[in-house]
Parts: sequence; C-alpha cells; structure tokens
Amino acid sequence: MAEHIERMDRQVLSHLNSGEVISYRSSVLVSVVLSEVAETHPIFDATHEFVGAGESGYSSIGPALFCKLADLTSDPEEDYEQARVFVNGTEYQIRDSEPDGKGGVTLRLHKIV
Amino acid sequence: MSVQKKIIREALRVQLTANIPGLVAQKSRHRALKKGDFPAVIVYTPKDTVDQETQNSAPRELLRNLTIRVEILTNQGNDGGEIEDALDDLCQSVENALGKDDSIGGSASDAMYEDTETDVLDDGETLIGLSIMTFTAQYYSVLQGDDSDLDDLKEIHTTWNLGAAQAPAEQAKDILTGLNTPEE
Repeated sequence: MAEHIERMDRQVLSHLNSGEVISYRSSVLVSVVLSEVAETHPIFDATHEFVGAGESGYSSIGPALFCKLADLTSDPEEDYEQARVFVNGTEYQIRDSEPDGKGGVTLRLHKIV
Repeated sequence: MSVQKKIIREALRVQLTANIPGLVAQKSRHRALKKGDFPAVIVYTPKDTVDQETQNSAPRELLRNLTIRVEILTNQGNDGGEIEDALDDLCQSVENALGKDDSIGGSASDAMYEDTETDVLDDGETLIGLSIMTFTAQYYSVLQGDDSDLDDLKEIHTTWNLGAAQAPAEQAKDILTGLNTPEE
C-alpha cells in the first residue's frame, strides 16, 4: 500500500510546479535544487497563520514545503538545526519536519532574519 | 478633559518611542500585528486601584495605583537565545527610558517597575519574542462635585489657648478672611 501511495505522490508531484526555485542544503553544505528534480516538484506553501502572541497576536504566514525524503541530501529529522531551504533566494531554517511514513515529508519553515 | 489613565498611556508611548529608536508603538491591542510592526510596543492599563486611606480626604483627592503593562515583541532572532537577547536589550531600554523620567512626562507622581515575563513563540514565518513588563504608576485624582452640597468657606475664626491653660482674655483670636477665591 505504501508503495502505491509513494508512486501516486510522485505522479502528483511530477505534475505540480508552482514555479519557485527551491533548493535544500544539508549541514555539510551538500545542496540539491529540488525544483529541478525531474520526477518530483516540491510544493511550497505559505498560507496565513495567526500567532497568539500577547494581547494583539500576530497575523503571519506558515511557510511549509512538501517533498520526497529521498530527494534531500540529509535527513531533516536529524539535520534540522543546520539544514537550510531556499525558495526564490529566501533562506529558511527548519522548525519542524513531519514525515508521512510513505516517503514524503512536510518541512515547517522559519525565515532566516 | 481626558481621563488621567489615557494621558499616562499616551505619554508613556511617546516617552518610549522617543528613547528607543525603531520601536513601533501600537495604538490598539486588539488589532493583530503585521510584519512591519516589529519591534512593537503595546501599552495598556488593565487595573486601577485606590489607596483606601485617601478615601477620607476632603476634598476627596484619591491616590491611585495604576497597573501598566508594556508588551514588547520582536522577530529579530533565528533561535531562542538570539530572541531572548534582543528582548533583554529592549526591556532594558524600556526601563532606562522610564528611569529618565518616572513621572511619565508629568502625567504621574511616580512609576515603579514590578516584573517581566518572557516567552518565545515558534508559530508563524519567524520566531517571535514577547516580553510583558509590568509597572505601577501613582497619580492623584480629585472627585469633581464631591463637596457640592457644602456652603462656601468664607471665613475661619480661630482661638489660640496655649497649653489649654489660658484664661479667655489672654487667648489670641484670628479671623481668616478672603478664602472664597475663585478657582483658577
């Protein structure tokens, strides 16, 4: 079953391309341009996210990237402190990684300031 | 006439932004902050208590203790340590700014620092650091119309009986007049 889902993921990802240039760099500076991987395009999303900070709160966005674990140059579960994601030149660090158990992972990102 | 609490809040916003470069004062604590609002300062006054001993004064001039909350928010930091350092710097600047004039531009009799709570939040596009500083400002308020039923004070007749041992003929008498002058 997991194999079928992974194949389906690859099929879906191969047809999705939102146009961003997305790359991943491991802690040992091995980089891959994920958006150029032939079979899969990563999906970058940055929808609205409200942060309950103090009395007023903060109207923000929650940048996130879905991609195949096999396409990354390190395991983000272990490399989350030093690995970086670049989207159209904007640098992000990983605040959380959520593997789906079927070869995919959602990386929750923080913009580097 | 503005309520004194409002004057104190506005004076404190001015004092903080004048002394801390780049600080963005928010007028409302009910509007969500946006990316360009950082570093943000929000000033509000959740509590106002009266010193009960001043309830017996006449005319009734009440000493009030106003709780002031100063929220400082920053997004300048890529990890918890950097954010806390940035917050510590900002909080110190707030204390210093208030220390320069603890009457808050003459709007209060005194202002005293109480405590600070700090938190780092990891939702959103960047880390957000939040410090909530609490101060107490003292100010006096005169209740208007409190003596409206009393006659005007026009004269005071006094008799001085030193040691409570003077005969009436020896006691000095003073009559104070001209007391009922119009208020400025």
